[in-house]
Amino acid sequence: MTGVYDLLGYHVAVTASDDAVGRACRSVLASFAINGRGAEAAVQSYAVVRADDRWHIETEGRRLHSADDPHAAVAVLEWQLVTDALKRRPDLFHVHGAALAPPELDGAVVLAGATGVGKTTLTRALMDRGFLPFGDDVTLVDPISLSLQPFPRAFHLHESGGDTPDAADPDGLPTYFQPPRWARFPLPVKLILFLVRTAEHEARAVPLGSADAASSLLRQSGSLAAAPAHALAIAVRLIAQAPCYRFELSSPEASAAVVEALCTGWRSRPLEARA
Amino acid sequence: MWPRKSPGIYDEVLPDGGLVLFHSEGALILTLNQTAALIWEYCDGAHDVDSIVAQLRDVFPEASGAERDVRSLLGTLCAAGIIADAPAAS
Repeated sequence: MTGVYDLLGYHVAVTASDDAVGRACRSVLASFAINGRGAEAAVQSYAVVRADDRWHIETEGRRLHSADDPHAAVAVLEWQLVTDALKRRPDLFHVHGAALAPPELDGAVVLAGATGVGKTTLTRALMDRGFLPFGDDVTLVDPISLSLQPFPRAFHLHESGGDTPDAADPDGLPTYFQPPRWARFPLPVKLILFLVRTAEHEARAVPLGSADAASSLLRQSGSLAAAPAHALAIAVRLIAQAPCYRFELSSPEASAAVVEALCTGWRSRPLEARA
Repeated sequence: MWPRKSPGIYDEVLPDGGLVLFHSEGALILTLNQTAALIWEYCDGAHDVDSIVAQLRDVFPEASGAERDVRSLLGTLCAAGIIADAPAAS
């Protein structure tokens, strides 16, 4: 079973020797699928192969990883594909976080934060309010336009954070979720929130000055180590374009309401006025 | 001391005139306010501490404690490995 996928222009073919694993790959990678194209469209081939009671990820005859169970193998494959695709696009500014467009599709809000802080939970609460996700864990910004680039990677769920798996897809893995709709076109970044958990009971957004905004953004950037000068320049332009806040989370619904109000606020001030 | 920026330091001016620094060796991110950013600009191996203090007093004549501020900042930057003494000039 072979599927062909497009990750940021990196076209890959994925083959699985087992039908169930092949269906799981298709489910997890569904939003990257190129419909109607064969393996000849791919520049690189990956395979999930079973041997010696283990599951192996291979590419072009090289073994990259091994796993004890098929779910772990699919997860590692998905991570490898994303990693390889990102390496081929060092021009894009990479932020560890989610990003969404409000229902009006007039800009993008970035939700940055450490693993497990609650990005996916808040993202799903915003989706319940009609927001469309650009991505959940990897957010990519075009260095020229400072627009969010859609990167429809399946959401990774943390059960301890209250996430619930996607019951709609029997072939999917329990730790992944495919949103029914994605933001499909680039939109300018208009708001950046750095999520934190506090003892406060109410969600609130505290404005950040330039120094705190820049250092917070760079700490969540996957581009900084690979291309420091590039990352610094883009981060500074981004914080000049988009207001930045430390966002103290409460319940998903209350937090989503505050984010929604902040997005309404950007409509009362033209983007240029803040630059 | 003739402070000089260490290799592997990247900087970018912030919208408020401050500066953000990144030291690739230790993955250290540091931000400087406007005054500290000016001091940073003179860390070129061609100015000693006294001349940096003099430059700062020229730009901010009303500022009190310029020497203390310069020495404090240079001490912090030196401890973080962001600047070093320039041996050729000393």
